[in-house]
This record gives sequence, C-alpha cells and structure tokens, in this order.
Amino acid sequence: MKKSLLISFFIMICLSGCGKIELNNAAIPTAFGTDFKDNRIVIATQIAKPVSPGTSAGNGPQFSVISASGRTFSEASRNTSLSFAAVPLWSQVQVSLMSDTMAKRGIADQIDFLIRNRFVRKSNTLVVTKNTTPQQVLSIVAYLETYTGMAIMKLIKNQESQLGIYTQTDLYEFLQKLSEPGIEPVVPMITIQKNGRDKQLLLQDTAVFKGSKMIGSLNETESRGYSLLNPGKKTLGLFLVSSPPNPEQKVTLEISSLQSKVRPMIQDQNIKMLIELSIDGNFYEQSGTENLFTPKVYKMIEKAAEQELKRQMTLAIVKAQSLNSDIFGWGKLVYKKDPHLWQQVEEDWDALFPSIPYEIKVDFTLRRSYLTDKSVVLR
Amino acid sequence: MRYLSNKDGPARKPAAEDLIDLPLSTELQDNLANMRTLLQSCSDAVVKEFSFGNPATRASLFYFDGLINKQQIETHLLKPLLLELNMMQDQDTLSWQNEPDLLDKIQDKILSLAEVKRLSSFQEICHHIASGDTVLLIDGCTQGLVAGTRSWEGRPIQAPENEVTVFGPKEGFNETLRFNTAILRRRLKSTRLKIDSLVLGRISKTDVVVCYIEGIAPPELVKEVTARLNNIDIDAILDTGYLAELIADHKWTLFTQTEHTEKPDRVCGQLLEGKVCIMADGTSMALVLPISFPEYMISPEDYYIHFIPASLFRMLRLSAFLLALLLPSLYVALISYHHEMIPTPLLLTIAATRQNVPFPAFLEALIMEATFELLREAGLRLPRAVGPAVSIVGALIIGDAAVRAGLVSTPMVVVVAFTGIASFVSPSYNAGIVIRIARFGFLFASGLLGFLGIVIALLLMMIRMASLSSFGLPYLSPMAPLNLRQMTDIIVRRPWFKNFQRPYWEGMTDQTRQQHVNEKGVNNE
Repeated sequence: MKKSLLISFFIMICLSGCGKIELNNAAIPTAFGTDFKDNRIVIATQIAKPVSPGTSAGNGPQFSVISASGRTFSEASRNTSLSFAAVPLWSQVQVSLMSDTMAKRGIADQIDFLIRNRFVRKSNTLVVTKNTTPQQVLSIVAYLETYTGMAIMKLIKNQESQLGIYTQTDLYEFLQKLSEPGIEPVVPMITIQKNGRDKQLLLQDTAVFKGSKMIGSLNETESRGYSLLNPGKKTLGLFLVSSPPNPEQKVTLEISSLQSKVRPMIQDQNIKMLIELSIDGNFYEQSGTENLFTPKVYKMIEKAAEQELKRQMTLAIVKAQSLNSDIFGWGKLVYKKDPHLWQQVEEDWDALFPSIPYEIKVDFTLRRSYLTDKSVVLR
Repeated sequence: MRYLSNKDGPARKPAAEDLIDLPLSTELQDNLANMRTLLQSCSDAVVKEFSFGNPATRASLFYFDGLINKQQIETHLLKPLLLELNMMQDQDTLSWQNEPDLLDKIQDKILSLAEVKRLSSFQEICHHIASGDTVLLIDGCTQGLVAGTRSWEGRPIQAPENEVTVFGPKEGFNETLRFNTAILRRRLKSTRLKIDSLVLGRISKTDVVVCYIEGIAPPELVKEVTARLNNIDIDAILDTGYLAELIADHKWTLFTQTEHTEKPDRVCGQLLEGKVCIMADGTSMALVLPISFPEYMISPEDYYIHFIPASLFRMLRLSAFLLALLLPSLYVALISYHHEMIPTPLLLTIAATRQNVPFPAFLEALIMEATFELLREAGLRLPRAVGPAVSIVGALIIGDAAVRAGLVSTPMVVVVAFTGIASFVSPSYNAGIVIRIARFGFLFASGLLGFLGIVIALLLMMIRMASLSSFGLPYLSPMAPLNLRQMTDIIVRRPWFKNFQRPYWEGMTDQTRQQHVNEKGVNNE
C-alpha cells in the first residue's frame, strides 16, 4: 500500500496528466494568418516573446513570426513544429487573418479546420488582408502595442464604437452566416500603410463573401452604410453633413441611439424591403461660426442628416446588389416573414436579390449639443 | 513541623496501593504510619503533629506545601486549637465525651474556616491534600476533618493570545478551573447555568466540568456528554484536547467535531444557543460542542459590531477560507492544464516569470507550500528572541533569493503568500488546521487532473463532511441538511433586532431569545 502510494507520487511528478502542458514548453501565439501560395497553404503565426516584468525588453519586436506550409491546414500547422520547439497554445489567439488571395480562393477548408480544432476559439475576430500577406501584416510593430494581433483586435473594436465604419466579425458569426441560407458574411480588411520607411496598419474596406468565397469589397462609405443596416448590432459614430445656412461648411453629428427595422413587404409574390431607421443624434462640431441653434436650422440639419444616412445605406445596398451577395440577410427576413414564399424563391434568390426594390425611411432627431450651443464668436 | 524525609532509604513498601483503600483507624499512630507510607518520597508533603486541649489530645495535620494558604491554616485552624481553646471559659466546649461530640465541637464551634467537612478514608485524604486542602486527624477519631485551604499561584486573567478581537471582552480563561467557572458565572448570573463536575484520570484526578444552561441545552445531549466522559478510563487528562479526541463521534477524521476556545464570551454565546461546554482543571482551553463546520467561520466579534460590517466580514472570511483551501491548486491547474482560461497578457507575464524555472508548476507549488508550512511551524516553536530573525531570513530567502536564483517563479510566491494570509483569516484554529492539510490534497489532485481533479477532491471532501456528525448534529448543518432560518446567521450575521429565536435542534425546549416585538414596541404574539 505504502509502496504503491510512493510509486504513484513519483509517477505524478514525472509524467504529466492528459492535456497537461507546462508553460515552459509552451509558446503563446497572439495571431495567425493563412495564405495561399504556389498551391500550398501557408500559415503564419505571431509568437509572443514573454519578457519578465522589470527586465528591459531590448530592441526590436517582442515577437517572432514563423510560417510553415503544407497541402492542408492541419499539415501546415503541424509543420510549424519543424522549425519551432514549443507547443503553441492556440486558445490564446484572438485574431485570425487570411490573405485576399486565400479569401478569393475560398475558405471552406479553413473554416472546417478552425471549427474542428478544439483549441481555437470561436470568438476569434476574422480579418482579411488587402493587397498583402498575413505574414507581412503580422511582422509590423504597431504603435504602442507590443503584439500585432492585439493591436488589430483593439483597432477594430475602437473604431467600431467611435466611428462605426467596419463591423467586427468573429469566427462563430462567420460560420453562422455561412451555413444559413439568405445571409452572407462580411469581414473587415486590413492593409499596410507605407509612410516613408515606417509601416503601419490601416483598416480599409470590407470584404464581401458569397458562400465561402470573397467576391468583392465595400469601401468606407459603403461599409458605414452596411453597419447602419446590419441588424442586431448597435452602430454609433460620427458623420458629416453640409451646414444648411452655408453649404461650404460642415457640421459633424454623432449618433447616440439607433433603432432600425428592416421588413420585407410582400405583395403578390413581389418582395420589397422597407427599411426604417429611427436615430437620435447629438450635435458634435461645426466648422463655421453661424448660430445653428434655431428651430428652423435644426430641422434643416435633421433633414440633411437623414439624406446623408440614406445615401450611405443606398450605396451599400447598390454595391451588395451589384455583387449579388445578400450581406444584409434579406433572404432570412423573407423566410421569417413568409416561410412558404421563401421555399419558392430560395432557389432563385441569387437571380432575385440584385433587383429587389427597397425603400429607406430615416427619422433623425437632433437631441442636444452637450453644454455648448453657440460657437465661439470671433471678434 | 518537619518535612518528611526519606530516612528509611529508597526501599519502598509495596503496600501503599492497598493502604489507600483502608478506612481510618481510631489510633492516630496507625493512621500516621499509613499516611507516612503513602506520602513517602513526596518531598512537598507536610505532616505536622501537635496536641491540643485539656486533657491533651494528639492530632496531626497534612497538606502539600505550595497548594495551600498557610496563613489561613495558622489563623483559623492552629490558633483556635492551640491558643484560643485554652483561653475559653465555656466548660462545655472544653470537654467532650465521645468522638462525634469532639468532631462536632471542633467543626462547629472552634475552627473559623468557611469550608470544613469530614472524611473517613485514606483515599479521600490523599485526594484532598493533593488538591490543596488540609486534613486534620485527631487521635481516637475514625473520621478526619478537611479544611478548604486551596490557594496557589496561577496566571492572572489575561487576554487570550490566539483569539484576538478588536471589539468585545478581552479576558480569557486561565489554568485554574475555579476561576474559569467563576468567569462564566459572572456573565450568566443564573442558577440555570449548571456546572456538573466529575473527576477524570486515574493519576491526575483532573476536575472536569460540564457546563450548560438548564432548559436550553437538550437534556439528552448533556446526558450523552456526561456518559461519554464517564466512559473515559485514562491515567491523566492534561488538556481538554484529550477529551475532544476521546469523546468524538468520528475519531478517524481530520475534521474536528469540537470547538476549542479560550474566550469566555464565546463559550457563553454558545451555551445560550444550547451547546455544552467542557472545561478541565489545568488548561485554559474550553471545549464547546456540538459544532458544525460552517460555525467555525463565526467569530464572536461578529455579534458585537453592527450587523452590516459583521455580515460583510463574514462573507470575506468565507471567501478567504475557499481561497486558502483552493488557490494554489487552482493556480497549478490553470497554468498547467487550462491556459485558455488565463487572459493573454497575464499568461504572457506568467510565462515570462516561469521561463527559467526548472520544476513543473505542481512541484514548484508543493515546494513553496511545504516551505511556508515549515516557516510557520518553526515560527511557532522559536524562542521569542530568535523569532523575528528567522522570519526575516525566511521571507528574504523565499521571497527574493529563491526567485532570483530561478528556483521558483514570482507569481507562485504571490499565490503562496496570499494563501498563507488567507488561511489566517479563519477565526478557529481547528478550521485553520483542516485548511492547511486539505490544501495539499487539493494540490495533488490538481497536479494530477487539473480542474477535474479539484472537483473530484472537493466532492470527496464534501461527501466526507456530510457523513460526519458532532454529537448528533450533522457536520455541515445548517447547509446540509438545509435549514434556511439558521442559514441567515451563517453566511450573514442576523441583526439582533431580528434575532428572536435560538438555533433549534432536537430536544431543545426554550427557543425564545427575545419576545417577538415589532418596531413600534408592540408584542406580536
């Protein structure tokens, strides 16, 4: 009895239990990206170099980017071990990149790999690299951030709450949109901005998918229109309108609350989308010095804001219809409204979607201007 | 008067054990001879022979030096017999016909002592003189007189060092049983406070008392406690710890089923909830029973301060208990099995500090925990003068040098230090011991299976605790079996103005603590 206890104690110390990875043998990836090159799949991983608190970090980036290629994703990721002597803890990854070549090729196999892999979090933010490769993006040392992966993550999150242009998409959401009929996924894109010798990250455009293939992209205004139309997400952020008394000047408005309702109107098998937005906004900035705080001008500003928002949304819809990708989930809305009708049109939805008529109604209410009403009068 | 010396040499008569059962003889000489045999080699025993009265009557006095108040004997026993008796004019007092008459007269009319009683066997004589009484044997009498003259140097009443409170009474028990019962009686000035006495230990003859409040404590409980105490046959009782182990329901377990305390206010509080307290002479530790595990988290201070902070402190204490029990094992499980549960920046920091540590996390935790226990145990035993020096060296070595040498990682030091502090939060030393030992069990479990192991170990511990009882009280009550009314005084402290009833258990009759009065002061019942 005593002997067996002693033996089991030593076994416990010498052998590790299942799933046990000592931190000394582990590496912490902060992001990874996939690329398609010479018919092989390339996986680039950014591995953090932990620096003890109190010791100086030294020069250069505090991470290394290692890449490995293979015929499949599993092979490529396992091949990482050929050049890297530690077990990557994939569960720490928060951002998954893919190159635009990869996205255009189709990412069904990548999604399959990520979903099957029990270590990868389904809450990973997806990003498509534009005109560059994930390896190059991950090699950039971002301003103030130690690790590029986290920098991309924060970049997307912050602009979403401050500007409301690009919509964050995680792996789970992507998968959901991929597997549901009547809705297509979009993924924000990132590129490298060259500023002399300095290279920095820049969020630019939104990749539009159809099925598992990227078929085009939305520019900034269209992306903003998409985020206004994207059901289920609160979009805030700033936008500009021309100042009514003086169209040369600009007025900046902020959306403080937004309620959107997108309904399909079905009449005699004809589908029309009715988009109603009720928005509360705040006055944020004016470039001129006129007094805009009169009821009359207020009304005019509200009108101009409605026009502007309507324009943004229309652009997004036009682009989506021209790409023939139902990124707004209209098909899903039709299914919810009238499942029988959806059964009839599902087969032809691709042919139907580009020509679906729509009507946008925006009700913008200017609420307040915080503590300042009149602009500073220059004398 | 002389001290008995061992003039006959070291050879002892084996008859001493038989002698003690004999009755007293009429001949003082015989009695004296027997007593001398019994008191052989007891250098602190004093035998004084003298004669008094007219006609002169031989008498002898026995006591143990150091246990008696000598002045009391001199002024109230020897002086009346040797001096005042001769000066008395009353002829009736000066003469006697027979033995009972003589003893009556001495006991009632001559001796000016508060406590005098008669005894008639060597057994009793020995017990009394060893307890600090003085025995007077008179020629021609088959009974002796015993005078209560107990008096010895004891520790003054001090604040208990191990149970420190900010609010509330500071005094603590000391080693003299009589003082301790007096402290209790002073707090509960009622004859309903019963203090049953019994003598345990063949050699030590320790006075043990069972205290309870009549009408509150269930009579069956008192009966059971007394019966179990009477079953004990042991040579000596040096501390109530002996009793706790001897009378426990479940003996083969880490979880103690009695509460040890030195605080009279704590004992009184428990007595008022229907519990029974056992105290023994020669120790300042009182036992309170029955006790359930959740009650270990209660400090008497909770009842002296406002109920809101008291409740918050109690919750803090409960969480500290869990932390002290689980923190090292949670840490080990997290960093060797469940990395995904640690936020990336924190994981990076931990990974950085662990880069050069040669041991697996489990072994590292084990070494650190063992070292901490070692320091703690050493700190208890160290002479006061060396104590601080050793703790400084210990802290420096463990906290700094070991980290710099790369033997342990800094987060581990933080975890162990935090655990150490959390384990001191428990108001009961007994519960603290359970935590300290069980912590290692959890550490092994987490080293083997991660969170799964911790959950298994927790389940096993809960199963074991649920199967225990303390004098019939389930060990996890009022959590299991669930008693919601009592739960309001376990997790939080019930405010006094809502505290109408004592916690109930089997056999308790008087549950009313306060008359049920509503806020306007009107009786609701």
